[in-house]
Amino acid sequence: MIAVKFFGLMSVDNNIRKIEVKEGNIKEVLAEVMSLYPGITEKQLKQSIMIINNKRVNGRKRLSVELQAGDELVFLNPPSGG
Amino acid sequence: MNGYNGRIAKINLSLNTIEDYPISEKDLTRYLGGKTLAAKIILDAYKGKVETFSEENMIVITTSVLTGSTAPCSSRFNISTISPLTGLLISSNCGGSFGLHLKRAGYDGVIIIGRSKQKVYIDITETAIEIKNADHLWGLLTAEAQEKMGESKRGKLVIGPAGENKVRYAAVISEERAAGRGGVGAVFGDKNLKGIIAGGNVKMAMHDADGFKTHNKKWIGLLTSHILTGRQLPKLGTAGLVSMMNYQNLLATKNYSSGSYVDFEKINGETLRDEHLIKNKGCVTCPIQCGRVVTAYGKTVKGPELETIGLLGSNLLNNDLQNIININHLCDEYGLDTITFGSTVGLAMELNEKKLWDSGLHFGEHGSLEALVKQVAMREGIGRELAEGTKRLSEKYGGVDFAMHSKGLELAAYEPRAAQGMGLGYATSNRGACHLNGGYLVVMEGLGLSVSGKTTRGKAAFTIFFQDLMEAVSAGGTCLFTTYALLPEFLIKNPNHAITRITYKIIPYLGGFVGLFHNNTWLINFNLKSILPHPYAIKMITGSKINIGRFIASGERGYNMERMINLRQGMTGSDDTLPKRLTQELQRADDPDSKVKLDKMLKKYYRIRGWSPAGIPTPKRLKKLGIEALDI
Repeated sequence: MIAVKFFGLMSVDNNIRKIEVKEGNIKEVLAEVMSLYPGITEKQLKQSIMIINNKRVNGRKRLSVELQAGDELVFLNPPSGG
Repeated sequence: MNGYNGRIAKINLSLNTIEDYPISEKDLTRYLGGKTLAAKIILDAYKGKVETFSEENMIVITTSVLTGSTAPCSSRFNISTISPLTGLLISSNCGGSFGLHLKRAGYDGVIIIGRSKQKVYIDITETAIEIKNADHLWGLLTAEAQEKMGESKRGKLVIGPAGENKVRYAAVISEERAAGRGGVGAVFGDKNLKGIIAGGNVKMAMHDADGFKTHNKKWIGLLTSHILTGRQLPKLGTAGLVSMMNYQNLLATKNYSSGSYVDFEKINGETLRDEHLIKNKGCVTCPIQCGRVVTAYGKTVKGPELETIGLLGSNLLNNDLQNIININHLCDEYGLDTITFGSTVGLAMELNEKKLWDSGLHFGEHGSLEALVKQVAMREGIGRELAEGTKRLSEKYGGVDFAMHSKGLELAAYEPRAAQGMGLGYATSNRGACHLNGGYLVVMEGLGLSVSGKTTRGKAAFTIFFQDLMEAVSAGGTCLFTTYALLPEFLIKNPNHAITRITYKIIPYLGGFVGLFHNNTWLINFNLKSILPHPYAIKMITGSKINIGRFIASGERGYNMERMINLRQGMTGSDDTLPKRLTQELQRADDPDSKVKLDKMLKKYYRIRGWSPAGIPTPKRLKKLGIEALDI
C-alpha cells in the first residue's frame, strides 16, 4: 500500500487527511482517490502540488510515475500567511 | 485635514508635561503614517546615538491615513523606539483596535519621552490627556491590567511583568494582539509606563467619501474572493503554512539546523483546525479573519500563529500543540515576544547539547517550558539569562555561529537556506531579522508561488521592491495581508499548468525590470485598483495625487530614513549579515546550493538601492528621495 496525504484547502474542504491505496502509477492513484471521495475532481488533484517521498514532481509525465509499496504521495495547495 | 487629525501629542514623563508636537500637512501626506511617520519624527529628534534605556529614547506610537477609514484590516498601529535587543530602530506593528480608538480620540500619534518617577499609565480622550497613577496595575498580567484600566469600549495597550522587568524582548499587548518584536515593552517598563487607554468620537474627514466607499467595497470583495485571503487564511490561519514550509525545507527546526520536522503533522494548521479550533476571528474591519480561537488552561484564548508554532514547535522539537498553545497564551499574558522567546530557548538547548552551557533545557523536552515563561518574565533562575535574547546569550556562553539573529533581532520561522531572497531580506531588514520588514520574499520562493528558492538571480531587486512595498503598506495603516491580490490567482490555483511553470522560470530574469521600475517609479505613476488598492484608497481619502509609483517611492523614502537612524546608532554595512549556520553550513549535505549566498546578493542589493559599497545611502539617492536635508 502507499500512503496518500492531503494538506491545505483540499484537506479542509474534503475533510481528508490521509488514506492508503493500492500501488500503481499516479493516474491510477488519482482514480482511486476520486472513487473514495467523489467530491474531489480530477482537475483539483492534477492542479495540486504533488510530492513523492519528499520530492516535488512536475510535468505531464508525473502521472505515469509508478508508486511502490511504502511510498508516500502528498497533495498540497499553495498557502500564504505572514 | 482629510484622513488625519493633524495632531500628535508629545508627553514628557520626566517633566509631567503634555504638548502638541508640530506636524505639517505636508509631512503627513509625504510620510503617510505608521512606521514611516515615526521614523521622520525620530530622525528629526536625535542628533546622535541614543541609548535604549534612557530618558531621551522616545516611544512613538502612530496611526495612519487609512486608520479609522473602514478600509480592510485598517485598525493597526505602530510603536517605534530604539530597541533593547538591537540598539537600533524598531518599529513594532499591532492589530486589534487601539489604533482606531487613538484616532477617534483626535490624535494621529503620541510621542513619549522621559522617565516617570512613579508607575503610571496614560489616559487619552478628546478633551484631555492625563498621566495617572498605575500602582494598582503594576505587576498584573496583561489581560487583568487591561480589564482594570477602564472602560471596555476604549482602546488599550499594556505591558506585562516582562516589560516591567525590562526583558529585552518584552511585548506591548493590546487585547490579545502583540506589538511583539524588538522589545518595545521593555522601553515602556524603563519609563515606568504600564500602558495607555484611548478613545473618543472624532470622525475622519474624507475628500471623496462616496468614491472611497465604492472603492472600499471592491477592495473587500477582492480579498474575500481571493483564494488566499478569502479561503486559506480564514480556514487554516497562518498555521496553514506549516506543511508547505516543511516540504519546501523552510520550517525552522532544531535551532535552524534543519528545514523540516518529522512531527510537523502534529503541529500544523490542519491539526490546529481539527483538534483545537473553536472559531476564527479577526481585528476590527478585517474581512480575512485569520485569527484562531482555542482553549488554554480552561479559558478561550487566541491561538498561535505560524511564527509561534515554528519557534515553539519545530524549532524546539516540540510536537505537543496544546503545549504550544499554552506557551503562546502565557507569553501574551506576561508580555513576551514568542519568536525571540522560542529562538532563545532553542539556542539554550543547543548550548546544553554542545556542553557549552548547562541550561537544563533539551530539544524535544517541553515539560518545563510553560514555567519558563514566567521565569523569563520575572528574570528568575535561568530566566535571568534567557531574558537577554540570543545575541547576548551567545556572547556570554558561545554559539555565536548558531545564535539565530541578525543585528540582534531573532529570525522568524522561515529557514532561509531554501529561500535565498528571504535570506537577503533577513540580513538587510532595518529591524533585524524580521521576515516582513525583510520583504517576505519567501511568499514567492515556495509558499504561494514557486519561484526557485535556490537561485539568487533577480532576488536583490525583488527583495528591495517588496521591502519598500511592505514599508508603504505598513505606513498606510493596513495589514500586509491586504497585498495578496498582487499574487495572481491563476498561478496559485494552477501550480502545474505549463503557463505557471514557465512563468516561474521567467520571474528571476525580470529582476532587471523590477529594479528599473523601483528606481524610476514615475514609470508606474498610475493606479491599478484591483492589483494594489491602497494608493487609490488614500487618494479618495486625502485628495492627494498618490498612485502606485508615489506609494512605492514613499516606502523607499521610509526604508532609507530608517537606515539612516540605524547608521546614526552605530550600525555599519557589516551588520547586514546572517549567522554562519546559514551562510556556511549546508542545510542538506546532498545539495551544494542549500546555504544563503549572501555576499553575491548583497552587492547587487546595495547597488540597486543606490547605496555605497559600504551600505550607506548616497547623497544622490537621498536627494532623489527628498530627504537630503537630514543629517546622519
